[in-house]
Amino acid sequence: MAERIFYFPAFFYLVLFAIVPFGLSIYFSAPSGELSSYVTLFSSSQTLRFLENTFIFSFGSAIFAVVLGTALAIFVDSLVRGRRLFSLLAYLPYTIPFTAAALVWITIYDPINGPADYLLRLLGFHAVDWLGQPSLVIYSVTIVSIWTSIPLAFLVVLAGLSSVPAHLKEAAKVDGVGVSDYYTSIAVPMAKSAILTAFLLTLIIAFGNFDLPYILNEGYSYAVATLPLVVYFQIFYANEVAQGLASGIILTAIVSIFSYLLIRVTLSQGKIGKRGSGATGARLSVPRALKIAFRPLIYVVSALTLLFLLFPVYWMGLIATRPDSLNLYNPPLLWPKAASIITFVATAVQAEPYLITTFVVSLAVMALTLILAAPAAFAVARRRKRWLLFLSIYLFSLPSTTFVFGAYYMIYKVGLLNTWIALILTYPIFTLPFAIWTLSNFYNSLPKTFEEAAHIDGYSPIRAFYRVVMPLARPGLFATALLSFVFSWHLLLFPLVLSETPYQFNFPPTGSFAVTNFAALFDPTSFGSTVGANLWAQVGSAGIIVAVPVIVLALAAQNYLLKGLYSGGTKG
Amino acid sequence: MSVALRGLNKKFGDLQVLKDIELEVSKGELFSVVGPSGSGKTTLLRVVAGLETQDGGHVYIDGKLSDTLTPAKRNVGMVFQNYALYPNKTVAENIASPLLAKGVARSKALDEAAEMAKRLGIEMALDRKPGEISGGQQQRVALARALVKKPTAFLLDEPLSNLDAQLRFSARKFVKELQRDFGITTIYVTHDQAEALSISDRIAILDMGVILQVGTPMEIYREPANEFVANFIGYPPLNTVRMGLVGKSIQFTHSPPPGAEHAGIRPEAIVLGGGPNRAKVISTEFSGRESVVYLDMQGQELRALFRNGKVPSEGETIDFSIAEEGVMWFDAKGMRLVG
Ligand SMILES: Nc1ncnc2c1ncn2[C@@H]1O[C@H](COP(=O)(O)OP(=O)(O)OP(=O)(O)O)[C@@H](O)[C@H]1O
Ligand SMILES: [Mg+2]
Repeated sequence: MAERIFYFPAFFYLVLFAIVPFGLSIYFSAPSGELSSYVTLFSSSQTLRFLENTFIFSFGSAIFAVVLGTALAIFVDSLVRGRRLFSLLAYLPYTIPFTAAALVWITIYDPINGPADYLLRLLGFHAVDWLGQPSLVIYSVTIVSIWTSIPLAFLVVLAGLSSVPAHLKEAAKVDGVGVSDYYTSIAVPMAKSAILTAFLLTLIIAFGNFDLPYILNEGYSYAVATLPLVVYFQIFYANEVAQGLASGIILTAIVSIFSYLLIRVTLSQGKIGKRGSGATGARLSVPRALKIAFRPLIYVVSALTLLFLLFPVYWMGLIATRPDSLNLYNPPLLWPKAASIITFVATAVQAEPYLITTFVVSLAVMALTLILAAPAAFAVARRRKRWLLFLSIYLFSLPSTTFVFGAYYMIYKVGLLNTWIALILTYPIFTLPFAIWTLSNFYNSLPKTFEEAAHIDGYSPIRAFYRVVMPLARPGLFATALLSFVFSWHLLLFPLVLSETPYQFNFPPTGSFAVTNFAALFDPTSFGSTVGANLWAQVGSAGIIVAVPVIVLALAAQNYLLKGLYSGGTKG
Repeated sequence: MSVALRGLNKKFGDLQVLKDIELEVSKGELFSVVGPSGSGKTTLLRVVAGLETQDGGHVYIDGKLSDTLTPAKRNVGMVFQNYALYPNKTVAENIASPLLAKGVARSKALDEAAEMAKRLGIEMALDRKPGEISGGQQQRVALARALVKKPTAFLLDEPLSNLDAQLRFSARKFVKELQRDFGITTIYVTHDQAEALSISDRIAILDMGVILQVGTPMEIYREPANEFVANFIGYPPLNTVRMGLVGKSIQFTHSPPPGAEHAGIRPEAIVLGGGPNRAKVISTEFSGRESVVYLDMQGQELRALFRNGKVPSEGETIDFSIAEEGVMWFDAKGMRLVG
């Protein structure tokens, strides 16, 4: 009886704000049982185009992210010193919201003064119009997505490699097993499920990625749209609600397949853990040539990957703080020459209402998530409420477009559009499933005897949880809280749909544009600039403003975050 | 009686861990449960505490049927094998925890905890965290935490196994005196038969979830119900001799009862230095006050306990006799034959 109190609030929330909206999406995709939207969908030649784009984008992101992330993870794992520094560097782009990232990449892809074309010319290719030439855009956007996906893949694979028992590593050393043999025949086979997890996670996140295609898709061309974007435009711009929802359901169905695989992998990982950590006999047969080339190959790929990961961050800082005249160099000027923070300050002042909204909302979401998830995850870990874990992983996997219409509909019906409350109530759709997942992993690693001692001492299950378990679980709770905050900070689609104006500095507060809305405003092709001349500096500044609070937070708490990420993986 | 178990059964999956357990522990008694690793001792204790639910049978605590009571409601004190002290709380808070759980005011609870700590000789550790005190002190904190709530039953799961050999010896005495002092009904689980023999009022021998015998230490040692108990209790272990050798290679002072299949000889019943038997010394183990002498009698190894005089040297031939009170007889099923 009492144990229901642990997971009922979370379950109730998920039903009301995730499952009901999901149901509404299904219902309104075929209003009054009429399937015309699906008929249109399957007979339209465009559908194939959307699907093709979505698959190029998702698989491109996941495959490259995992390959490059694994190479980088092997490199970092093989280091004797400096693991921490390199982990941090590789993890930096992860803290930057997709929205900010997309902005920076717009300037990198600039057809006249952008560094991307400069690189092409250096390599002897013709310059191209990355975001302007329709046949190219989907690939350009995918490159950005790879950039944002590598850190997560890297972290998950690195965790897998690090979990190889120390005695195996030492035994390999004693036996004189070389670095290449150690990785190809021992470590990588043992980290197989981590690599698979990394792949499925990045794939699922890419399938649901609305932010990057939205900001990078100049002129809102359907020809280069991915499904999440199509859903958004059909529902909220073209006013073809049923049509958009039908596209959303197709996307949901596709993601469900990979979510199912992710649940399977997560399940089997638990089993392997229980079976103990003996060396597996599995060995890859590796061609001799690869053995010799292994170490140089890993080093070169890792160096290039790091350069790829870090350059845009550097570039963002560079363009945000230099006068416009320095942007017009050809070849582009890649180092600081003169600094000017005028634009940055002006942009920051403009961002104030957006920052306040996002800060308050993220804090509230963090608290709400923790209150709901802490006991629910405990029920998953200790009372074997596995179904709640599966539900959480599944909901976590689903793209935000699955819920957005239903959430909008509900918020609209209760008259809460354009309020902070609307965001606070709906954001946990994304943070809560994730929090239940990571926290249950954390509780699993906590010895049971403390709770048992508490029961013997005379505490009821609920009091034992609050008095004994929660204090012991502080590191896990802290990591989960921070990640919830970071998630909330990053969200774009929901404030785009639920908000209409910036915060008005009034009370009760009205206006709930988030910092991501603010960044989206700087899409040079959509709403146009609001500050005047130095467009690049505005874009870079907006990027920094959106990203910096989260970067600072993430760096300050990196230990907790790396631990938290290890157990779950996250969605940007 | 203070704790009674009636027809207790417990399975983990297909594994029957406890089988038809019948036990009665009287008020104020120190009752030990001894058995080899995996025999179900911890499970038995956890069922009494309510941390594990039995599949069948009943638990009575203080005469009250307790099957459906939560651990919190059973008013038992328990010392876990690894102590399970809350690492984030001070020693004082750890000891006071059961009182705080009951709703006793914090200052009063801490006062009582301090008093309990004084009684157990750990008052200087009150403000420290469990990680900052010695293993022996941790053990006392665990005892204090279990006793502070004046439990109906005191459950100890191998409380000494984490201590080093020296400390274990003194702690044994300490636990015994504490138990006397408090006059508290105690179930003491251990796999160390010497520990059980030395402190218990009564002992139950558990093997593969079955209770083989219940009795005082003396009864268990002198009149083991079967060969398993006879082998498990006593160090060095019992010598087992096939009937084929009895009266031929090895001379006893009395003849075996009918139906005997094995003879068991306590090592101290082999009296070296004269007698009808002769054997070769294979090796000796010196352990201070006494030595264990390994003998070879035509392929049959015998362990003898040697107390006084010069220890025989290896390779020497030596005569011995067998004292009647250290010999027991077992039938084909391993049950001890009386008479
Ligand atoms: N929660 C559990 N799930 C499944 N099997 C269990 C569980 N707890 C104990 N067992 C099994 O039950 C048997 C008895 O375990 P128990 O811990 O009671 O033995 P024990 O006598 O205390 O052993 P030890 O001296 O090693 O502590 C063992 O085979 C053990 O593997
Ligand atoms: Mg045990």
